[in-house]
Amino acid sequence: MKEPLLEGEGLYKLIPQRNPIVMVDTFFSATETDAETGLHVQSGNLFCEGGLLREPGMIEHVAQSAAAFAGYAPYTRGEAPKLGFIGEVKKFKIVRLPKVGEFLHTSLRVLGEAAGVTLIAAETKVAEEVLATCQMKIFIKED
Amino acid sequence: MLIKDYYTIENVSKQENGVVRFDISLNEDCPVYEGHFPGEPVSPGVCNIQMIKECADQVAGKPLFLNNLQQCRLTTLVTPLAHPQLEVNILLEEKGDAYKLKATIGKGEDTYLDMKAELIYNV
Repeated sequence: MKEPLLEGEGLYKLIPQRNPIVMVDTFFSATETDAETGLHVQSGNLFCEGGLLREPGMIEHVAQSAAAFAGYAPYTRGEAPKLGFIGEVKKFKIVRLPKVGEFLHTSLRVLGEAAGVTLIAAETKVAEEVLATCQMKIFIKED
Repeated sequence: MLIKDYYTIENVSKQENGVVRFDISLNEDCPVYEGHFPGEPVSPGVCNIQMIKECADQVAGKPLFLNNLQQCRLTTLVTPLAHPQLEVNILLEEKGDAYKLKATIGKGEDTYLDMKAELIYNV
């Protein structure tokens, strides 16, 4: 696995969310159109129950991965992350829920951008196993 | 409730055309707002999706697994201060091994979120 660019609280430079709802803790890479992120699923996670990360946690992990992606370019310019909100979730399919102790590795791709809305596609894996795929529209709140 | 202290169900009522309406109140003291976002509480869209799922569990009478969220549009930012009272409308239809769900969150004439999904029994 590649070396992360940012880890743990280092992600606070990319996202405005804070505990108890931080759902991305690793940022591997970003290009113009693609990014890779990760999350260690820990038992104290807000969205864990019965040793599993439940559905809203999977969705929020993708949303915050997109937020981190959106925050990466401003970060490289020394700017603070902006608030982002989910506008739409589409075709969110979960094959299985991740277990506590597993590491989620998520790949994002920008499918389109217009008027402050970004459409992304995401795939979340544990090792080589695909756990979930979706599309999401994210709004970034401009100051 | 997955997200502790996120909301309270005040009333449940059957509507026409099979819809079950849950009148709920959001709890502005829920710890989730400490992080979403510091100093600017906004109800996380995923927590509202979870609230719909939990209302659907009640309608089904068993815990469901939201494994196929076909579409969820979040058209209004919901906050516990601006929207302390919400109506969650659930239309759940059993289809073989799965359930088809259509749901909205809103208040009166206004819709803040609408969602279409398929769920299965969470064994």
